[in-house]
Amino acid sequence: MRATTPQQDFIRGIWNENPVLIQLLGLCPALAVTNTIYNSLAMSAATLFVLVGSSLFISTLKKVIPHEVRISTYILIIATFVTIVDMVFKALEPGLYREIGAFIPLIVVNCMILGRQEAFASKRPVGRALLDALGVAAGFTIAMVMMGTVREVVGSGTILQGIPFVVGGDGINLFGSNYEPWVVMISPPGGFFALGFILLFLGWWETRKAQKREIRHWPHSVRVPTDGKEAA
Amino acid sequence: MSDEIRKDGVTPDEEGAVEAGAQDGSPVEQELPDREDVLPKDHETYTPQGGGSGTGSGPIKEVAAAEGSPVLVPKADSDAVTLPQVGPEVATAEALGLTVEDGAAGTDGPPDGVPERPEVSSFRLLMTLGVAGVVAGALLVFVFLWSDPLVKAEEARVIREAVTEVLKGPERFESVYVLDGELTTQVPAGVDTLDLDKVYLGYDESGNSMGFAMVHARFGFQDLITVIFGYDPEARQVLGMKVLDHSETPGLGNKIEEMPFVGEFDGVDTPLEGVKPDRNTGASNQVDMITGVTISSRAVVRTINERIEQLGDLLVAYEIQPATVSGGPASESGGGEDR
Repeated sequence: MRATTPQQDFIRGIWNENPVLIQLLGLCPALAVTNTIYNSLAMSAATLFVLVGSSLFISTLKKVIPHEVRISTYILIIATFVTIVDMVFKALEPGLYREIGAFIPLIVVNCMILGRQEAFASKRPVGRALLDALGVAAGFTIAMVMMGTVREVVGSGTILQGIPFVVGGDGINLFGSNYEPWVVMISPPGGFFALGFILLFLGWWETRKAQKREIRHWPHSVRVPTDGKEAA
Repeated sequence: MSDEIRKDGVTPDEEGAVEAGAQDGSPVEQELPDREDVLPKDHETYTPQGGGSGTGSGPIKEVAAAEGSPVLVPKADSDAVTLPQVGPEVATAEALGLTVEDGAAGTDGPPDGVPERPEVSSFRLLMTLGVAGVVAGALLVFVFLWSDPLVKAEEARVIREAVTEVLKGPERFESVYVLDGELTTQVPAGVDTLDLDKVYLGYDESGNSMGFAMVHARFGFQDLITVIFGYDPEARQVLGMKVLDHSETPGLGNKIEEMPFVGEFDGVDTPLEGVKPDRNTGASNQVDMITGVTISSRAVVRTINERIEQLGDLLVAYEIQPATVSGGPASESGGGEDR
């Protein structure tokens, strides 16, 4: 068990172990509800509440929960938080709930959340678990907003659509009225396209970074290694 | 390994038999009943030490004596196969741990990662889950008590807005229930109004009927399309239409809830006939379909026709009665609150 500092606990989930972009966890919401930035943010907020709440609970109760029934108990705790989120969204934001409501109960089976409980919160002090949950949730939010931005801009030609205090909920029209939206991008297959291109870009970027590092280390070398892993 | 075999003890003859069996290639010494011993012994298997683990080798000799050494070989093998299961928790933790550094097990050998766990009674397990369930349930009850009125109010508001829209601004409206093939506002006690089919009857300022608003659903391209529409039974005209719920393709099927199409339904004679825009002959019952959205728009037209077919006669019959029945049990509220 490698020792980590509290800062690392928080930072790790945001980038190096980003749940969606690196670990490819929690893809169901990432593909399903990221057709606008607003929906992405709402789903991220719901996930943050569930993740932080269940991490706090499970970390606090880790000594009480017998090892044999830990997964059942975790699921019970997670499901409770998810149901609360579901009811709150339904009561407070009915319009939003009509769009993403079907996917809120599915947060229960988001393996990202159960994974953090089993791997981290059930073994660490409460403060660490809280930091880790916040970091992972922040990483999830970043990935969701990236997906949402790509899909909304290309698929609807707007940005920030649906947020009541931005241009009355219609969003900012980016390309003028002659733009024909790529409708496929706001339908579920568009989620796969967006995720695929984002992962492609990140992979290319990482490789390029590694190559630059290699060149710096061997300034006289003419040949540039093509494999990023060798360079690292 | 049962105790009666074990307590027989070890005799020098049997000791020799085991060594012979082990030299055949069967890892006899691995069949140690005590888990703590197993893994350290693992590497010493093929150099069996006679006296080192006398208690452990005892049972095997009994088996060897009883069944003969050919039988011993597969038996020892099968036990050897089970040896890696000493640490099942390790595998689980690594599988679920997702990041190895967080997992209970490091990479340096299975036994280190398995902390000693005392036996937990079934009662404790049940109690843990039971208490967690009760607490969770109680918590949810409180949240539900808070959220349910808000949700109900929102549902009622949606219905109220929709009825207002499709009946072109009634002064007020009331729910009329379909009970035993008749329309009535008077529901006998003991009948849950939520179980009944219902329509909404709208009145203008002077108390005259403006028509009925009816909800109906039918399968469109992807899922049910739920439609509310206003209907004047005397003129047999659809007054207006609004799509309450649908899951049609964004940018394509969802045009059924947008303006050019919705406007087609204002003041159309029934039964409706959906036609392509270029085939519209100007007949008073024709509705222009959306090009490329045929299935969804046809579903809307058929929904309305189907509903009028179901209830049209009842509506006419009800209309004959004067609108003296004002302020029924469910006036103004629309759905939901008259539970």
